[in-house]
Amino acid sequence: MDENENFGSLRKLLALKRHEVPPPGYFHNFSGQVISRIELGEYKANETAQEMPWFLRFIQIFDAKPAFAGVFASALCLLLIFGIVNAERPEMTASQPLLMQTAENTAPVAADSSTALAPASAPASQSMVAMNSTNPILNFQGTSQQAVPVNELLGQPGASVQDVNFTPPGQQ
Amino acid sequence: MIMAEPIERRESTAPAPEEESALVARARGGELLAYDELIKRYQERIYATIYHMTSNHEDANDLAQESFLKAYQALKSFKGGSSFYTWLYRIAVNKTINFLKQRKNRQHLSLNDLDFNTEHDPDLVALISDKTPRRDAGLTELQQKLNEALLKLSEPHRLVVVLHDVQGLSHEEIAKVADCNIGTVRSRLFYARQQLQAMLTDYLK
Repeated sequence: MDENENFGSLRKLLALKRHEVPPPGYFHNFSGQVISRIELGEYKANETAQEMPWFLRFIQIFDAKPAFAGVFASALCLLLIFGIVNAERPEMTASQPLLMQTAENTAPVAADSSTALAPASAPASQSMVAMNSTNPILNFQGTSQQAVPVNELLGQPGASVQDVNFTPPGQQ
Repeated sequence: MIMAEPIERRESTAPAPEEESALVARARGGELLAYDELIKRYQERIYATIYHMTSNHEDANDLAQESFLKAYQALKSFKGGSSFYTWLYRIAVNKTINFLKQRKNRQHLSLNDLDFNTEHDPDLVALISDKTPRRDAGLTELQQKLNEALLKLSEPHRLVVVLHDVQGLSHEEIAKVADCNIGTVRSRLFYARQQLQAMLTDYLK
């Protein structure tokens, strides 16, 4: 089928566009305007505008694609919610070795506090054996000449403790 | 006939137009006179393409100037793989499409006047007086409706219609300018015409 036959009337109508002309004399000044802008160095300004920081170029994408702005905002919100939910979780993973390390360091030192530490550190000491092989922090090396068995620590009967005088700063 | 004679004489005595490649080479060397000549050669076609894409004279003026500035800035990177004209067209078209994407949903018409010959264009006279059921529809109203319909097309479809049916470029040239294959040009043209026909059905019966 000939496209001209199908759209003959439309093409005639589109011919109307060819009759739309800019104001008289418009093209007389056009090249002069462009050349004077070149002489003023405006094309160099355009050059530097293209070298704008990545952040501004990133923001410009939002102007061109508003949907992208929505997606980006949603992703940020999800990330925020995930962060809040994660922060409210009980310290099970990251803080556990630190807590255990603190407990190990204080156990031989604070004799009276062993009973106070016992409830909190009891579950920790149970999982210590498993973690002992992978976490070198949990090994007792260097600080004490008497090696203390892990299962005797923190509230376990027979744990070796040593009395230490401790006065908080400012109460001397 | 009387009006045509001096023009013919002037054309015969005028120096032969300089080769485009020579002008480009001189412009690359920083000769603004050569670039001025290049602008004068293509300003009307570049302006018209942008104007038909935006339906706004002020935007077309800004974008046409920006396109020539950009082309001058990028002249050193022009390898000559395609013609300067096609390369320039591509710059103008890309600038226009980027602009249209940014100002989406903020379109307003600022239409140019129709020239004196419009009323004598046989196609248009026939279209208005014989086929259009709304015979009282003036050319200005028709112009308005046509531009509104064009703006409803997506940019790639509008571009193909403008370049082919208004500017008269071939499918091959459009494929180079739009950086796509000829089959895509043809399918876009067909779809765009279908859309326009549906939108302008009252004016085409």
